[in-house]
Amino acid sequence: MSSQAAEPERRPRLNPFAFPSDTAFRFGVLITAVVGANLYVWQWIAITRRSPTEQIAGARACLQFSASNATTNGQFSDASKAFTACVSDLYGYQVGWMLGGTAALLLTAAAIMLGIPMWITRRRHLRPLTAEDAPAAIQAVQELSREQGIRAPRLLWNPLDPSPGGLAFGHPGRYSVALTGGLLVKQATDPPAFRAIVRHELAHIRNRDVGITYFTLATWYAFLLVAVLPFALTLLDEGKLLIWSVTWRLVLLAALVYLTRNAVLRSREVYADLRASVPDGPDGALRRVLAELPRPATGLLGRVRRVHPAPERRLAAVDDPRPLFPLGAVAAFAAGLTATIAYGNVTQLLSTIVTEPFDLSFFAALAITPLAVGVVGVGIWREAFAALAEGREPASPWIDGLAFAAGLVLGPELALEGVVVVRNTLVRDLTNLDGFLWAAVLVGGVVLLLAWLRTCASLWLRALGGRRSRAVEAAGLLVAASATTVFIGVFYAVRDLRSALAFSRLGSEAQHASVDAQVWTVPVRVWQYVMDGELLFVVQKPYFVPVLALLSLFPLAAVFVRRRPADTSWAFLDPGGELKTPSLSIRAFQPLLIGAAAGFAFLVLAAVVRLGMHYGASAETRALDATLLSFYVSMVALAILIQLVAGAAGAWRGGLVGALGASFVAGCFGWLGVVGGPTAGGCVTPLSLNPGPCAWTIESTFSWHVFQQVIAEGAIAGLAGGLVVVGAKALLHRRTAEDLHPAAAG
Amino acid sequence: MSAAQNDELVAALARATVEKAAPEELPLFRPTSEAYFADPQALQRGGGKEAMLGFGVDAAMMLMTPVVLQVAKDVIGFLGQQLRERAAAEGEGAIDRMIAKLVHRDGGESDAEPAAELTDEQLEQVRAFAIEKGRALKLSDERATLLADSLVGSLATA
Repeated sequence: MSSQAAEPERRPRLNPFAFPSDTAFRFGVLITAVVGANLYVWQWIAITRRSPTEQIAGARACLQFSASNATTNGQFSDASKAFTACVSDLYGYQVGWMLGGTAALLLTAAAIMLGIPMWITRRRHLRPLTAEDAPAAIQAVQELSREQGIRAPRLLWNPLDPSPGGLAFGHPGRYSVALTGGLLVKQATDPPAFRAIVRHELAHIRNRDVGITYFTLATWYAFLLVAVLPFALTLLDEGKLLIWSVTWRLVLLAALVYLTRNAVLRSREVYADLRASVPDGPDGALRRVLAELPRPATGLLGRVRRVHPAPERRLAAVDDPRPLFPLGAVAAFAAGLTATIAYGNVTQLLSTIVTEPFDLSFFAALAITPLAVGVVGVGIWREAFAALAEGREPASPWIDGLAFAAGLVLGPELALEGVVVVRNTLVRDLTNLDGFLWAAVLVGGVVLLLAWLRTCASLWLRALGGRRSRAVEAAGLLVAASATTVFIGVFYAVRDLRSALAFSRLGSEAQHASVDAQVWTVPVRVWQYVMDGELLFVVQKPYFVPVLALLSLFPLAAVFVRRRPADTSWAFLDPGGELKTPSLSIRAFQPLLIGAAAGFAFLVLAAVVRLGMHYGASAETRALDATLLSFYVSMVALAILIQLVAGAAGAWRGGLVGALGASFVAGCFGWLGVVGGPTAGGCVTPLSLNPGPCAWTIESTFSWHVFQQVIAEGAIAGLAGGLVVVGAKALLHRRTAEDLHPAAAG
Repeated sequence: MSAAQNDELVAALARATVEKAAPEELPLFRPTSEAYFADPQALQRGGGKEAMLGFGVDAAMMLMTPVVLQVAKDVIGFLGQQLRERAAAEGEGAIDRMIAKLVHRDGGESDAEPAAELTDEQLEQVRAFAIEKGRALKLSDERATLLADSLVGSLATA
């Protein structure tokens, strides 16, 4: 048998560069965590500058606005606003310090970033590589730069460095590549190996690794200089317990920055190898050079400290880049953890500008969540692409999702504000059932949102066939990031305002009792769900329903895309690749049809109810305010019930995305039935409760509020129905599988 | 002997050794030796640490010239000490001339002087010394031996 025949067939490799890298997001999350910690340090320093007497007097002044004596919703709301505004003024002086500290951090980081190239040049004894020293090497680097499509970097070298290596550094606009004396000798003795190593370094520039890596590093060093140093000085006269509390948090933050940096760098090395391997070709020198690399020390500590993966892993990834597509649970956990470290500090900063609790929570979430979702979302989309390209189903996102959510839950524990502010964090509340439920809601919500993103990716990639999907991917990530931001913002606001919510529930209960005393109405729990003041307050936020609409419709919009033959060369690093993406089943359209059918059923039911009211109740009763209010709540409740059923039916074939889509469409009909009822009654008398014109007289503001109420409350119900169905299906599927494949005895 | 003269001697011995042990490095000999003489300590300080966005081979040693320069410098010092005893009777200035002769850097000015020759025992001492130094500078046994043989060869044929 010839050796050629024994060689395994080399498949065209999938192109990981076809998708955005998660590097920028991962480093972005790190920078956010560091900036958040810096905010806290400068807030602390600001506090140490004000006398305790002055602080206490200010706090006492605010207590006069306490809402504890409020007896109505209006009084409670006014008192809360006044108290929040007073507290905001009291702490307003801290904003200047926090913003000044942030500016100092960023300016110092920029200065360090600019200084790093000089420091590397000095420390590594680098000198400019001139044409007099090595003309052939300079020419080769220029040719390889053109090949990579980048401007030739500044070339430096250390003649005394014997290793055959290179180093990319600098910043955008002024990149440098340092070569070693050993590598320049290779240029003469082994030109293919020289080209492979230089291509790797140029690939770091092409992959935009250099600027972001050094900026992250510079931000960390700036944090040590601008925040940790003055912070340590202010702590000198504090007790040991406080110093210990600060120290372990800072050490953990440093460990997180260090380990994440190393993990990202290791992944970037593989990407640089991959980029270099394309022009190098399957029989180029890169694989040989990698195979000849010295084996690093093994062991967990050695592995996490290294910024290059083991040579065998690099070689394996060059041959088969598929393992690069999924994100992995560790990275997802780190993203969640790092993102929420800063949450409390950002909230504190914003609290002096934004006083409304839900808006405050939303904007704080907006500062941290999109980057974290970017990290996880890019991984989910890439994994879906890799799976579908091979004709298999994308992997379940549950493990990554759970890891990400676990990071979100644990993150606040590491926040520096925990040094002095003893808050009931999610972790500390886990010891009681209430706290466990809150944590479960956060974890469940985040996991569901990531599952949504996975389904979106799967639907859109199938619909697009072989067409490139960058715009769709960006849109999907944007929707997922928006939805997660809203979810986290609402979650923390609701959790912080638990007592106020209880007050709100009492208000709706009293309203129900008042109506129930006069006319028939829905049960109190249904009334409370439909008319809960806080829930209505949340769903009427301008961002809530638009995000919900996008969540419901974006995945299903894929069914309207026509699959066309496309050039799929972008999807592969090597020529000759063939995408095996399965086509999108027409079943994806079903949730929309189910929603429309359910919505039509609602319109019929609404007409029947109106007929019943017209002929079953006297004109005097129908004219009562209590009757009108009860009728309105009943109609909204019916619309929500229909959405629940639609959601359950949509989930049967379409999963939770189907549930959302079906309930949204049904909700649109529900809204039409509720606000269009008076007009219909004006035109068709038997449908009327009270006489009215045959014209659309509904105010647009009221109409929009009803739409927000029906769509949002119905979506929650539809999602609940969908969850029940998905859970039941999973159980049935498991039982069927067990029936077909009984466990082997013994 | 001035430092510049000493550097010239070291460079000459190193160049002759590189010609034998690693001729492919000759084109880079001039800038490498310039860098070495500008800061000889840089050789000991540099390397050994994995660099961010490097290629990841920093531990692998493949360039001989810097090591040869360092070993040549030490050997010249060693030779000076060895010959000092022999030349004690002839005065201090003779030592420099003898070393220069050993490495063919006398410019033909000292034809009248008796040629300095190293005994086999002394050459073996130099060889062992060079191997030891080469290993200390992280050369493999094989390359340290090659360096030592080439260096001794340069001295023996001087």
